[in-house]
Amino acid sequence: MNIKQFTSEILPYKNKLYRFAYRIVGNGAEAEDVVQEVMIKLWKQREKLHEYNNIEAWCIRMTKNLSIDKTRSKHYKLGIIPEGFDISSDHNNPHQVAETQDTMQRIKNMMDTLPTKQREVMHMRDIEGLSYKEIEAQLEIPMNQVKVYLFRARKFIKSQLINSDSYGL
Amino acid sequence: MDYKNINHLLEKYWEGETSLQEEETLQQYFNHGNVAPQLEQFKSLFQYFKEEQDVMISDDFEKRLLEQIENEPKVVSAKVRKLSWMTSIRTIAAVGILLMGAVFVFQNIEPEKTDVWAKYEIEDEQEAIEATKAALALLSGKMKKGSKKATKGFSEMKLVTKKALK
Repeated sequence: MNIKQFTSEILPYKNKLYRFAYRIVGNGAEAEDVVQEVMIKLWKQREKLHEYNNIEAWCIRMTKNLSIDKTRSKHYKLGIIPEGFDISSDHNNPHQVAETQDTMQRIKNMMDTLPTKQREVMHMRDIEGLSYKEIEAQLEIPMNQVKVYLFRARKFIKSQLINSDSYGL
Repeated sequence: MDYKNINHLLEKYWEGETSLQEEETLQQYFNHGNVAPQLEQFKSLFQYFKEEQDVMISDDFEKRLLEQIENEPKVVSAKVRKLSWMTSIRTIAAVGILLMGAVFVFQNIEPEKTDVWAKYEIEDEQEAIEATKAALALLSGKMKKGSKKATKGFSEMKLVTKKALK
């Protein structure tokens, strides 16, 4: 694989991998480091890449493992202040921005309370728009189980949304 | 899309029975359309998905990565020296001479006469007993020596401990 092929076939995964890493490490700079590390590893193995029948799944797995390693590192244990959501404020007044940010944070917190597998499956489906088959390959979970996790995750989020609404939050 | 249809899709969504296309319709509805008041409470979830989908890595990531890749130290592969035909002939000749020399040397070595140990075997019963006794005596003598040394060591240790405790 030459640099041209690498740029056209592997680099397009960067945003997806970045979002996936971001979900785990909770920090933009760290997530970017993870993606960079994954890409460099792929580049170093460029001669062997054709042996993998699903490079994307391989990238996701590596991103996941490296992200988890990062969260386990000393640096993380000392505590990092997570970055806020980058919401464009072009059309909103500061009050609206704060409100939207608050709402987004609330949903994010709900997602964070989900068990890892459920959260990962929901992320893959609702944010990345992947098919069940793709999720099965990328997370190495049987398709039936993927559906079960997704069902549970959505059920939980629904109940949280209804609850918070009835409390006027 | 009207409320009824969306509500139906949303119910399917919660059950995990929507297709990717139907999920796309829901996202479009909650992010762009006028959301029905009854469905307002679910709007934030789909807004969140949209926000997350728009999260992108820095613009200059690709540039930085490619720079790093291009500047990476090249892996030095073991150099395979191409041998000229003259060198090859010399090598073959040298190996041939060595082999011939080795054959010559080995052919001239007379096989060493090995001692037949069977001839020293004791056949007389009495003599065998004597020999065994002598061997056992030698062994016990050595063992005694060992335990003496050990006892000496112990008493020295006792002395040291006593001194230390004082």
